[in-house]
Amino acid sequence: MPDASPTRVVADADVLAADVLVGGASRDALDNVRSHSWLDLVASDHLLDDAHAVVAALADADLADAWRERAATATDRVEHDPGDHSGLASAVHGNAAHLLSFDDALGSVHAGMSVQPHAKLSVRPPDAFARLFDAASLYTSEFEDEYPGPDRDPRN
Amino acid sequence: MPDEHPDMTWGDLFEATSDLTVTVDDVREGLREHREGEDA
Repeated sequence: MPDASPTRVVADADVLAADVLVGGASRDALDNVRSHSWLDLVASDHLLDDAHAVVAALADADLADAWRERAATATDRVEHDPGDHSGLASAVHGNAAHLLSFDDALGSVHAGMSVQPHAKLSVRPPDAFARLFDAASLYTSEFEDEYPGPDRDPRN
Repeated sequence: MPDEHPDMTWGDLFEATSDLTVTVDDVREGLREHREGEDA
């Protein structure tokens, strides 16, 4: 399996749902990703299904469907065993270095999963990610070039 | 809230939920219930 990439980010279903339903730190964190075309938001269908179920339960089914449609076009899709934790397995199979979750126990070993978190996976709540994420430093490190600034509208 | 949301942008989605009073705790509880329901 290739090394985890610091430009690949997974948001667990709680953060995905909080992004659209609550805002706050979840939206701030994901705005960092949405604002940069060189950052990939990674998700499995199972992960989007989990977030869709929460949005439908707390808002309504039509809005959940619209969210699912938008999220599907905004994510790099990966596959994993259906019994695995969808956020964690998306991060592992998607070679993501960042997993945003309100569940800080996700970084530990999980019994019964077909995969385990790799050593380079950083599991953080969205407020910590939003506070610590440095797009300019990461861009310079990854592309050996000057950071050009945000290149996408995070509301599009 | 409108009955349909065709081709909504992120901005449209956030606008549509701006009047909701959902909290992070609501979301966490909703996800916990959903995942427990799947495991049952």
